[in-house]
Amino acid sequence: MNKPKVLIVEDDNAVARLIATALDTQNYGNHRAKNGAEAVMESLSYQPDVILLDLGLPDVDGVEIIKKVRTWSNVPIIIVSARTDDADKVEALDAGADDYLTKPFSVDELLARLRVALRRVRADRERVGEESSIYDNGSLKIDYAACIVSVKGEEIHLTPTEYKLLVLLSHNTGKVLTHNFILKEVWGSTQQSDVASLRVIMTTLRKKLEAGEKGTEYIQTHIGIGYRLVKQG
Amino acid sequence: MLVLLSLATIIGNVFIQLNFSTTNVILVYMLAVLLTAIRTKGRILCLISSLLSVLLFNFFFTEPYYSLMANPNHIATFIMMFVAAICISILTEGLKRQAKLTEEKAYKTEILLQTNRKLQQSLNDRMMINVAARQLVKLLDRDIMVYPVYEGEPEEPMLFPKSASVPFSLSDSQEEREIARWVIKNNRMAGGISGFYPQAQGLYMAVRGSEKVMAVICLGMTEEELNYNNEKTLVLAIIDECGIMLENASIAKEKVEAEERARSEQLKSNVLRSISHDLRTPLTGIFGNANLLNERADELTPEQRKNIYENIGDDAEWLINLVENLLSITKMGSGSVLSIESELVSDVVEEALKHIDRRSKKYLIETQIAEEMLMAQMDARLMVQVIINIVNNAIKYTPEGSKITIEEFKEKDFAVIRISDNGSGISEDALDKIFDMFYIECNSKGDSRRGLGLGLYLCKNIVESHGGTIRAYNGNPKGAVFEFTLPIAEVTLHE
Repeated sequence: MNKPKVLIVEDDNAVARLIATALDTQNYGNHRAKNGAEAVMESLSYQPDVILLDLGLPDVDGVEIIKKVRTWSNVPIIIVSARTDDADKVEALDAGADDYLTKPFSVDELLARLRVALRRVRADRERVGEESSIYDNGSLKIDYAACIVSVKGEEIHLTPTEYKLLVLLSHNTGKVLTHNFILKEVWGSTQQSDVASLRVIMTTLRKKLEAGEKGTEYIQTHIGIGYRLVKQG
Repeated sequence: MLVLLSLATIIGNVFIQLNFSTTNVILVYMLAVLLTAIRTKGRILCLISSLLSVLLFNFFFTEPYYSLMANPNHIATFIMMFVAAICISILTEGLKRQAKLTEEKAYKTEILLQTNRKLQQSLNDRMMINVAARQLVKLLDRDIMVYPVYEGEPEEPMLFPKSASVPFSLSDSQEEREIARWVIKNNRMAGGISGFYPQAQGLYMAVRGSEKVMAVICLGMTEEELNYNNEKTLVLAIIDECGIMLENASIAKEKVEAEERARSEQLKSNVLRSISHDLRTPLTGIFGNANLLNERADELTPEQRKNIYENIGDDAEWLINLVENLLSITKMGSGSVLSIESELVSDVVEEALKHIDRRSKKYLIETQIAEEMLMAQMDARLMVQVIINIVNNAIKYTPEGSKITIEEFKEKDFAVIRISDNGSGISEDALDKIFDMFYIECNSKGDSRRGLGLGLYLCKNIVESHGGTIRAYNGNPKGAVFEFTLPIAEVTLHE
């Protein structure tokens, strides 16, 4: 992939400039949209690889833009928001955003999130055409056909729920999945009381994955929001 | 009466047999009349007993004996005896009435006192209405309905049936509320022959304070019934008493509220004052440093520039943390419901460590995770803030290179999180005040960073609102220890 293109949707000039400068240092191409209408236009004409989206725009709510863009494109969307309420982030993630950053953020953090998103794009593109039955992420491998999970070549025994959970995460590698989304997909319910179960099972799953390989973080916890399976390497 | 008179006759006979004078016999009859008057009610009986005693005296004890004939000498005696007997009975009657009145008064006073005592023990207006209405139901033996008044409008009525076995006779409807509203507005009685709303189901009376109507009481009876009721004055007294007590309570409440408002205003202005002061310092740093870089970047050595960058970063970081704390304070202060969920304690600790002071890199931070999965009930956002504040505090008050340990373990029904350092500890004076608002420990090192003294105050607030406790003490052999607890979460797994 040549120079990645990033669309910055941000109404505040100072923040937009900061992001643009940071992207320039990484040699990423970038365009800026000041409001929702421009954002939708640009996402069509500029064909960005990643969209950085501020939720608080002067004309429309950022969530509306996510919904609109999602009707035709799977481009990674990273929310950049000053809203501290988790509910807003969860709403945006459920609407189809991939990740979120809370203002104020550090440039390092921003670039790290961008790299994660770009890795996902690359992985998606490589996968086009061949519907692989083997998932490969660092030393974590999942053989969907045989239902076998292994880390560093060592098979790992998972309970059926843990396996379902891991498969769901692996299909959405790099994306933050909200508690509600996971509950709906794996348990078929959206009862808040099940969130505790989800936490416990996620913790045991993580322990099993990371036991074989100290210091590697496969599953990231996002307090009050959800989980993400991280693409290694 | 007859028994008494017969007894008097017999005693009189005995006296005569013993040769006592007949005067004694007259006295015995007088006694009988007196006793009769005490024992019986009504003038007629007294009159009859007086008459009978005269006749009996005449019949048995005056010559000629055993006949009603009498000589004129005796007639004077009879008249005197009759008048005396009447006087005695009338006086006794009067005394009796007096006694009865006193008794009634005592009874009313007692009921009023009792009501008053109960009213005073009542904690809120609903309880007061309850007390008064129950007394009235007891006195009147009628169904009663009370509309508490809130800001001039009748609220949902409180019902007080006289007995559980008979259906309640009063009903609440739009019309009834309309009457209640009218009573509140005009501060007058309605229903019955008061001329207002004669079709009403009962008597609507205002429970008055000195100025406004505190409640409207509906008695399930007509006005005539109330007027003929012996307890009318008592009923009115209780209603008045209740009104005054309700008013007192509402005045007291307003006073408390006003004081609270004043206090929170005071607090707000204190917070604002110290915030604006403490914002200015880091802002000056950022502003000045940015200016310096803007205008004289070329004159600065790379070393100096790096210093300036770091300073800007530090100042900004400090501001970010300040804003987070202020947000948490408003969240706590606005009384919004905490979003309590069962969270994995180690996740929360890990999240907090991502946000601590940049200088933490120069410290040795160690976490000791509980062996079994430790889950606790908490608002994760706020709890992250608690941990950040305590750890940042440790960083602030210990020299670089110090060790900070975060432990989590289970103790009975609580998850305990203990954050300890190996610095110089906390002075005894400071231990008492460390969780107070705006408390800042004077740092002898002289390089202490500014602070609002909000962090630990906020921690205490947050932890306590979760039903946990927080304490600070000095560790062994040295260093400060902060320890807080949270109710543990029992998880039933749904697979």
